[in-house]
Amino acid sequence: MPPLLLSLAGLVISLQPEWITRVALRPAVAAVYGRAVDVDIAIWHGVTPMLLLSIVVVSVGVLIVRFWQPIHVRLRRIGWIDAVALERLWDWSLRDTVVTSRRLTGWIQHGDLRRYLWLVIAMMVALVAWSVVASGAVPRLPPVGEVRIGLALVALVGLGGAIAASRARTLLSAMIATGLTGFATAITFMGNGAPDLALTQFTVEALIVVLLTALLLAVPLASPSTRAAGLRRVDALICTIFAAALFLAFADMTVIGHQSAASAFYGRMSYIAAQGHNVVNVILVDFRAFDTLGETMVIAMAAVLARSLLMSRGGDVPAHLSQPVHFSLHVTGRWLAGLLLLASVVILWRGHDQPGGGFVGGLVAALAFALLALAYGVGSAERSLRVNPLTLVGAGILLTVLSGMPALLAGQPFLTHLWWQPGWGLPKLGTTLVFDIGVYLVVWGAVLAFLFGLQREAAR
Amino acid sequence: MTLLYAFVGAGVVGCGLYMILSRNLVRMLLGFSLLATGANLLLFLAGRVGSQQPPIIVEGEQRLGDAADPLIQALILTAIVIGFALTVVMATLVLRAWRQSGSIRAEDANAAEAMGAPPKKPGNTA
Repeated sequence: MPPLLLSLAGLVISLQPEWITRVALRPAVAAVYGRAVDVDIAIWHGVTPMLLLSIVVVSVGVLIVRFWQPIHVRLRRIGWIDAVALERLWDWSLRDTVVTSRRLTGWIQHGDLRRYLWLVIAMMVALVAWSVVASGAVPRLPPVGEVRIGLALVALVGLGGAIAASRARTLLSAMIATGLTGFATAITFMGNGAPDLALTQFTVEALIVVLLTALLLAVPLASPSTRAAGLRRVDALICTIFAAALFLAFADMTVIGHQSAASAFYGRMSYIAAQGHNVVNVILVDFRAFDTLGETMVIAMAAVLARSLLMSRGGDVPAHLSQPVHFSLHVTGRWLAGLLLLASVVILWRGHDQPGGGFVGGLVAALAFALLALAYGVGSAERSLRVNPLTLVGAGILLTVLSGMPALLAGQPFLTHLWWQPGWGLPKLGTTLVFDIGVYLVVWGAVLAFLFGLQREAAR
Repeated sequence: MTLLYAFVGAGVVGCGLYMILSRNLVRMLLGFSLLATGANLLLFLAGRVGSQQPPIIVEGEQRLGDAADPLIQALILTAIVIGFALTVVMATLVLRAWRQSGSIRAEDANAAEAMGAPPKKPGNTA
């Protein structure tokens, strides 16, 4: 019944097409195109190819109905039609799909991390090469300009460290060579007007050595190479090509003059709007405070991970496992750690106007306890801290969030920092300091959570 | 200097990638650390190497004079800390893997593969 109704409706409408065109078709077409489009429907268009094709189709149909019996009898006599019948093809395609996909899975999901990564790197190289070739761009090189010999040598030492690390036979030498690159990078930052970065990089490198040493104490230092010589050559080749593409891209990038409106804005507004002389720190704690808040959250999450993965409870490291400590470190360790802790507070306090800030401060404070742990053992260092590292992290997060609240009370957006100038020679005070103390505590606590956890776990 | 730094940065990234392609988990971890360092160095170039003055407003002045780009430094500072955190998280995972399986080879970290392959019989998934 419904098909009959539909076809009847079609018939009625086609007898009087003007009505449906006006009511439905024109508005619909206009809605799709966004403008009025001329729609014309008629029953008779004259003799057109479409009409002729329809006549052919209808006649063929009539012939088939007329000679139904003889056609079937004749077709059944032909044997090969069965062989290429649609059902057969369907079965084949189904079976082949399964076989092919299993082979494909075995081929691409081999479970070898190196081959996955290799493919990713190779694809990156291919994409970059393709885009350069497709655009027909010729990479430009910046002028060599003035070369400062000392800094140039430092940079080359950094590169040498990286090469040495990739060729090192034992993990210990690889770690030391990696550290060399890190320190060379820190000096590079220092020599190019970035003392904040240099401070951070120096502290990070020192901490990495302490933290990774705990790992290296547990695992075998010298293990046979995991790649055959041929594979290593292939890897070296693809990495060299990748590095070459990277070099050309960055050399080309620096040819374009640097006109960052954002950097200029921060330089202009840092003191006027945010009362800070150190523009880098002002960007971190004030202009981009939301980003920094997010970052401290990430670090806090990492600390929780350390807590859940590593052995953080239990007694002291057994005496027979603790390494003998040199007398000089045993005597001076406590004083050095105290000095470092004091320095970390100074770095934190002056960060808004001088190089420093919460990140570096927290790292230096962690370094103080790393020293204690090295000189007197993990248990002793933990006892000197008195609180759980995660408590520091939690308190830090609380402070960073709280520092944004006063602005809400004043009717301004969250994390708009407020300032109070007491006068009478007292220093200016702002909610930025609370924020930075929060960052300091989070970084400090998180590094300690890893430090204590790794050292305990490694000595187990 | 810019050319040299681009060369060194790209070289360090290349070495880092080479180590990441190793199947030794600790080597991969060190390679990752190198990669982060190289990326930071290259990122520094995005602010251009030129002025050796740190981006600190001189006492008594209202605005920043000729100095290195402060914005890129703020970005790199967070990148250094995050890179460090990532390296340490990886160290934690490697140490756990060592405790679990007694191996630091990437092939031996195969708990997922050990769970078995997907169903073998065709049509089983329907």
